[in-house]
Amino acid sequence: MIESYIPIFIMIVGAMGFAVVMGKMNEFVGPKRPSEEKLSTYESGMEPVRSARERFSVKFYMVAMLFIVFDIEVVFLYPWAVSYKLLGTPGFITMFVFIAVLLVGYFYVWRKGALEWD
Amino acid sequence: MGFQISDIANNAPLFTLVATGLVVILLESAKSGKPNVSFIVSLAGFILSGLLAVGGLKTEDVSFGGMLMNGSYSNFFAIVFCLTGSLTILISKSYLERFGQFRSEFYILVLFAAMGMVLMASANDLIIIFLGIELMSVSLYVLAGFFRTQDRSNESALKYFLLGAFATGFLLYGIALVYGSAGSTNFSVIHNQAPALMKNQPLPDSVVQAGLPDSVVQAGLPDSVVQAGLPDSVVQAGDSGLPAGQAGLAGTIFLLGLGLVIVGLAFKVAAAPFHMWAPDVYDGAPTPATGFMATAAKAAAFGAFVSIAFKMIGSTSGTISNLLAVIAAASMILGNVIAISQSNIKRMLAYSSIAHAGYMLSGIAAANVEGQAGVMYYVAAYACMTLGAFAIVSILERDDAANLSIDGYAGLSAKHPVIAAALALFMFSLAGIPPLAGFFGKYYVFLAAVKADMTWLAIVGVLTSLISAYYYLRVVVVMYFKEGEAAVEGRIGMSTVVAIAVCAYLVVQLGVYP
Repeated sequence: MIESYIPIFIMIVGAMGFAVVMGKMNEFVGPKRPSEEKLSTYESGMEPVRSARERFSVKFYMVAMLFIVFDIEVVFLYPWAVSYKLLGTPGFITMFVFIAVLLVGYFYVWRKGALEWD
Repeated sequence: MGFQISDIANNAPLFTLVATGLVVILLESAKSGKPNVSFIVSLAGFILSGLLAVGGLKTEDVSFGGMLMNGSYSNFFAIVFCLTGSLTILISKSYLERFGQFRSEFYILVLFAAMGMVLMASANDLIIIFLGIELMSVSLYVLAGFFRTQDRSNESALKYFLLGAFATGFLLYGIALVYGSAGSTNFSVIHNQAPALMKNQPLPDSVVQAGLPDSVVQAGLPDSVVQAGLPDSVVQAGDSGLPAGQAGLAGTIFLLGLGLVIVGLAFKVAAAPFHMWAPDVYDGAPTPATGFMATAAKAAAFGAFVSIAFKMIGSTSGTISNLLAVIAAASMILGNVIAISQSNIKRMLAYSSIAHAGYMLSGIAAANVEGQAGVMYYVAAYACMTLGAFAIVSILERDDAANLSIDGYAGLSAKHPVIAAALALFMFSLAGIPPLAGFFGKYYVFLAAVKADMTWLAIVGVLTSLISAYYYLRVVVVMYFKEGEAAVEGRIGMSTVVAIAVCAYLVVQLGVYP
């Protein structure tokens, strides 16, 4: 029983060893000419540690909310598409109603201007 | 798992509300800023839905594969929700206009909340209860914060949202535990297993071996359910698969789950010790929304509570009854005693609503037929009188919210005798003075408690309602016997007058012809 896991164990040890050896070799062999830019976590990215008390524009929240709504629609659409034949006409009607309800919401959001960035 | 035409016909009130809600959204999107149209359409939707519910009072049926149970019970509650919903809409018009917040979204939210309430009352499955509670609560969170420029309104919405989300967590965890022990979320299936689970006995063979679906169906589901033909999927869910040796553990888990479900629902009805949110939320929310929350939302939570207590648990359990009796007594004492010291009328009504939740809970704790009928009657009576009181508060409220103190009502009877008389009527009814609706509500509920050998609970109820008479009548005294200059701000909207008249009529009508 437990013996059958030995190859996996060897694999784990091998992978860890490889990672450690490569990392350490880099440290010993590679040339080192540090500068302030180079020492930052992401050389040309954003600063990783800042004050958490920062204000975001409310526009981001709007986009996030709308994303969740329509993302969930897709989450429901996939299983329906997979088992479409099984569900048949009742499934089709149910899904149609579901999408129609979401469409009403979409129409509302659109007309209220939530989709416009400025 | 298909659905039939009868499913839609049975739930006509629900679907009317859904359709109205969608139509109002479309109207608002197509022609923004025409709230008058939304007002009329929503009102028509509520009235149509209420009439359909009246028509559906006679048929008893299950629909959507045993998920919903339609009949006199669910339709009675649907009528209450449609009534409170339409009255809320009537009250809100002039109030929102006065505060410059007359927008269609208010009506959309009221419609969607009512939808969730109808779902809760007709639920025959814990999942539907959860769904209904969420639909209702999310709409109410937004309604509480509808005056988004007011700090008080925002505070109320945030408090309600955070605490409500927490309570929903309790409810959901309770549902998970009940499902884990009973093997189903369907009321009828759990009802069959509840007696065995409560006594920590091994589950009856018919349930344990319910690989054969018929044995569960015949084991004692109500006839109407059997005739309606539960689909196999629901019936097979009765197969809890727990071996008899683990039944003791399952019983403990079942009780734990029920306890958590009761915590979640007690939060929604604002019963002590889960009432802390109510005064702040009721105080900060726009007054028509407060009225809607205090009446319809409470009625809906009681609709779910009664379903769970009677359809799911059944009247077999002393443990649950005692638990509910303690919650009821605590709510009555706490609500009534703290209400005495309130000077703000909205907070006073909030504490009074906690006390009334206690009265209604004592009917559920009694766990007999009289208790169920008493709670249903009480819900209707309470909705009329409280909504009427909030309607009058909404007329008198000013921009700076200074006029919410009870002392500000001094001299109202001299200037506006009709309004003062109506408010006095609601206060008398809330205090439980005989020929009015509030008296008979209390009478039925306490009678049920006495019949269930819970005389102590009835005594607590009567004593605390004596206390409550003090602060209700104080409002009347202030209005009639104190000099002052209470004044109505601006013109009183026609629709509000209609709403108050309907409430007053119903308070008398329900009382005189119970």
